[in-house]
Amino acid sequence: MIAPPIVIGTPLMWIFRTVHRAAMDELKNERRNIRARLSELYRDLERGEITEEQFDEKERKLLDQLDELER
Amino acid sequence: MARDENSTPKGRYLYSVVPAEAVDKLELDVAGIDGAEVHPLVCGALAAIVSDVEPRELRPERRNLAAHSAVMRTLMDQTHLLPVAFGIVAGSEREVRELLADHEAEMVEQLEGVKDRVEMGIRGVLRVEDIFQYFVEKLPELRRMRDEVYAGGEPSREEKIELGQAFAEYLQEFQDEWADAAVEHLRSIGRIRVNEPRSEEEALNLAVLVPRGEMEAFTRAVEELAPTFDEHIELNVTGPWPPYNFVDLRIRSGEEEAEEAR
Amino acid sequence: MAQVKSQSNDSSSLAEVVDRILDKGIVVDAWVSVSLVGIELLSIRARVVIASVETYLKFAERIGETAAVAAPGEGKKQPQAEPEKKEAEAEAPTAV
Repeated sequence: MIAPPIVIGTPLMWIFRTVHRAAMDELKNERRNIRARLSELYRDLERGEITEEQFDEKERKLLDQLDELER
Repeated sequence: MARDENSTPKGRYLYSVVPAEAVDKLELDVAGIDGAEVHPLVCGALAAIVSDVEPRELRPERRNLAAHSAVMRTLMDQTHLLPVAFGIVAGSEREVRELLADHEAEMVEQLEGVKDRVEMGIRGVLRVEDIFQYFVEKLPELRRMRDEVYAGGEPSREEKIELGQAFAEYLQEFQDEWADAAVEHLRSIGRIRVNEPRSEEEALNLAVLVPRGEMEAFTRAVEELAPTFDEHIELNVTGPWPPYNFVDLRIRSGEEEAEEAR
Repeated sequence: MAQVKSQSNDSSSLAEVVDRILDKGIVVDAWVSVSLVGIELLSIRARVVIASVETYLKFAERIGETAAVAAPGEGKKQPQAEPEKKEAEAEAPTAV
């Protein structure tokens, strides 16, 4: 958790913004990652490369990972 | 209309925005999220297509995605529309009507933009046994880098990152080139949106907004496009889809937005 | 010559659907009930390089494996016979 800098316009503020942006980018990447893997999962199922049970299992794991992101 | 406040879910799951004038002829005999009935909420020139739902975290599970998708398929056969993303749940009917009232002009305009048009998807897939082999053979510079990096045994982490990054950049250059070629060829048909390819194997990922009278021209254009591409690229056309790629409406939270429902 | 394959909107195909409804369409920030929903800015060309170190490392390793194929006997690793899920139906001919 980053405490807001006391003085605006100092290098501290720049660091705060940079770290925040990096964190947001990281989060976006994670989300995009999970979306992509979810999409792949459906393709694998539709191509018959995995069973329904395998799909349900992997889906559950992915969605749990997603819930983790929320914290 | 009297309602038992305790038993009827207060939340409204949003599927789509349609013109109010389309509502009378709509047949909404399709189950939505949680199997709930789907119905329109009219406000002015617009109507939101919704179903009642408990306000909560909706997991993008298969049955939820399938329900949302089924409603959209039913709708798109009957009217032009603005699709809503998955998992958008308003706290109440009132909030939905307010949304429509507050954004009427913009939504009406975007509806006009998709009227009598359908979205078609084009994906290019690289049908090769190993795409890394493919690019290494195609790009002498990449081959040289590979040989340098792997010359003296296991490379360092930094060397690997540099090599991997170079590959990523080459890949993106190719994907951009292929996208440019496709856009050039298809732009006369309709609006195009270039999307991020899903993986290294995907060469191209486009959406085209095709006017209803132009479907033949579109198909011909794609067939003409194919030979200009690398022989290993297979073009997959999908659709028609609701115009997800041609709707640009993100409503941000204002200070006045009450968070009570969430 | 590159081929064209048309697939109609197969009612049971969710893979394409997922790419759309999780990422696109009208979004009302205050009403988003799942964090997967795309909140990227839309632009005509939505290309943002999603680089991650893990990805680069993976690329480098796969490229390293091509060395083994090109020069059998010289390579440090034998190419893994791992099933390439996405390209299960890929044709045999090597790229030109």
